[in-house]
Amino acid sequence: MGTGQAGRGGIVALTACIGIWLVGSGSAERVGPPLPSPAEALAGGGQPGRPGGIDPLPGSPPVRVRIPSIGVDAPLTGLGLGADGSIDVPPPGRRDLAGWYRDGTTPGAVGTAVVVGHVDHASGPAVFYRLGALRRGAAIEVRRADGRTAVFTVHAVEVYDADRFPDARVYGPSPRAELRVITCGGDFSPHTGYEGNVVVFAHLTGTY
Amino acid sequence: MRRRTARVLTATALTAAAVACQSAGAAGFAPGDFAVLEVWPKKAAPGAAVTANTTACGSGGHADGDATMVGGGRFKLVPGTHEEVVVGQFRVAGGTRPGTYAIGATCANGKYATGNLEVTERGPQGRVRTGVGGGATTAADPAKVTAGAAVLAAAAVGGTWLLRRRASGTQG
Repeated sequence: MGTGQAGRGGIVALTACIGIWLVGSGSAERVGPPLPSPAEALAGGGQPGRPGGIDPLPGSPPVRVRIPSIGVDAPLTGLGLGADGSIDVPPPGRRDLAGWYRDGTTPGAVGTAVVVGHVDHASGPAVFYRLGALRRGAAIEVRRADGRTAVFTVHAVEVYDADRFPDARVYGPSPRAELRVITCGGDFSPHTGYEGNVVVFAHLTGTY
Repeated sequence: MRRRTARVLTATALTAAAVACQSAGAAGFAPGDFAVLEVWPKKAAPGAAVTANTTACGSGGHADGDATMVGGGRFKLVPGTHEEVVVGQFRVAGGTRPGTYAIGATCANGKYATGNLEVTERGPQGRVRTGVGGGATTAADPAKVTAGAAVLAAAAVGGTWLLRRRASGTQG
């Protein structure tokens, strides 16, 4: 009699577990865009790099950005600055569109070029949803209006709080051709939005 | 100060003349005409690196650039990745006042190219607002929750039945 009852008890317990799992996984859970691990952080406090061995390109506006390792291949639109000095964002209607700071350095030329894109929209992920999953050494390709392509290699992926955003480190001048790719990141609050930004640091390593 | 303003104005006038020449459809530039010097970025804060390029010098040419008005000194323009484009770099000196300045380049063939650079007090700053949270939560699945509740109810019924049977078995 004991073994039979124990068996039935086990079945009841198992059924309860399945029920709990179904309810749990069916309920809304907090799943956000990926965040970089500390291993991808800037080395040496983010001092500007020295000029690399690669010849920088002349100035020419970028038209498209490709990041093969996270499946990004997006057209670029020109972005200005808002009243508070922050870079504008691409129109929210186009989830495949990224932008670049059009008054700044053009990608591939000497200096710090900036590319910006949405991490998500009201209804789901957008062009740079997986940006935080990039690793050091990953390639970013930017095609330009002059037909040239600038190839950058990622040397750091950081996440910064909005109220402690390091302007000089992210936007500051550089003696070599560098690129920053920025999207939203960090914890999300329904009231205040994302707490900060994921910033990818990359430098020019090739052209074709 | 007045002198600097005058120089800026003269340079702007020269640039306007150069643009006018181009839009008038001049097929080629005779020595002494002004060609366009592309200056990137269009707006630069003090300390920023600036790239200047032009096609005015012809294939394999070179040029001497002049960025003294923004404290960038003189710089060389040499053929870049495209043979017909000469390219050079300079830096906007710290402390350069905001305003529009002319940058010039004189080709070895005698042609002169000029373009404007706007110096701003500072570059972009702060966070960017690139998310609204649509990707931060997954939608709930009501079917799963309903099924789970049904399974839990079944487990409760089964458990109760088992407990009752055990209780009656102990008594009998």
